[in-house]
Amino acid sequence: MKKTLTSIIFGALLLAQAGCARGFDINTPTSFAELDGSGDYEYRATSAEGVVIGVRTAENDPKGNLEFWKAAMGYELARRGYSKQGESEVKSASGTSGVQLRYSTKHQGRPHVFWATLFVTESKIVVVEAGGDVEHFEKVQAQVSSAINGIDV
Amino acid sequence: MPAADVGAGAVAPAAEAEAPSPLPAPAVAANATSDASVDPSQGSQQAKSAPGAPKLDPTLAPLLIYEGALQLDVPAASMTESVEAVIDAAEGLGGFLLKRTDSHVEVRVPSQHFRTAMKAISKLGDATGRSVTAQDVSEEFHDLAVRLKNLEAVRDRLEQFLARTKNVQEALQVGKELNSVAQQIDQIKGRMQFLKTRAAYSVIRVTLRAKQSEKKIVRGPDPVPPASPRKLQVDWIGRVGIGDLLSP
Repeated sequence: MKKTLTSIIFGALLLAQAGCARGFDINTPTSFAELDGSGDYEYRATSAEGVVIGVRTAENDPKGNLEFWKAAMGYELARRGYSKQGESEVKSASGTSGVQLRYSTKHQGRPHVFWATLFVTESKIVVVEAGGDVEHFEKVQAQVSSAINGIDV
Repeated sequence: MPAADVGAGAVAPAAEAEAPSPLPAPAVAANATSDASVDPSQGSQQAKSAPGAPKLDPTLAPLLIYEGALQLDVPAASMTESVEAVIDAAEGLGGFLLKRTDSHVEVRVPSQHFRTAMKAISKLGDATGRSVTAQDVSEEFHDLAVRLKNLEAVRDRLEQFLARTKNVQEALQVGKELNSVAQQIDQIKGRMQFLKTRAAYSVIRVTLRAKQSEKKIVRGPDPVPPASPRKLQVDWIGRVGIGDLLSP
């Protein structure tokens, strides 16, 4: 019994360590599957129809607040032809304030939705990206929003 | 060099005076004395009116027909007024209008006022072109005067013959000849009158052109260059987007 309890505690510690190593915690929506080998992304999951949620983190360098990184992101995406559809304030599960920038763009000739949600702390920036063909994105939009709002950064 | 000077200087000493002689008076006086319609006395003024000047042989005085042309740039808004001003200038010197359009006007002025008229009209705008020509018709006038004198002599003889004819047949023949000579005399007098009139009044043709308004180039501040598309020097931000997100 004592051995079993030790195994459980050890396993829980390993999981916690893994979560801390990623720097955030996100619940994969039920209709999404987590992808391996995601390149720049520390996390990526896809729906069966190709709507993808991805999370990347970066050092807050140069050190800027949420407004700074929102402006930088907005400028960069606008420069590449993304059309801004709106923005809204969001909060992570741990209470960190963030901002969600919503865009439309074309990818391979098709209209696509792209959301970039930013959370900024003293030391890091967490960017949650979500996007897909507009036709498929609308079907899973609620799940995507739920996953973003439930992120722990 | 003003064209008026060229024209005046090139033709004859008479043209340098304000009153160019319209008639080679002495030539006419010597050869056409019997006809009052050809007034030979007018043309000798130039030779008479230069006190102190060397005496010229009056028979050499030319009969000149002057024609002048001017191109004037005037403000576009005052084209009509400028045409009127040209006519006024001509009429003020004893001239008259020949024809006019919106941008062209032809006037005749007494030849003794030709240069004055050219100068006055030149001042009505920016003169961009000017020319003067003088046609010397002295020789033709002289020939006509000689022919006239001879024909009048023939006419006189024919009239004497006519008075001495002895029958109708002779009278008809002499009368026919007399009639032919009279016709020739009339033609010559007409031509001489034409030359005299042309020499007495000079033609000035004025072409008006709307002046291009000067556009002032106001140099303002240097234009502001477009905002630099320079990217923020943060690698990852350039990779945020649908392309990377959806990549396999």
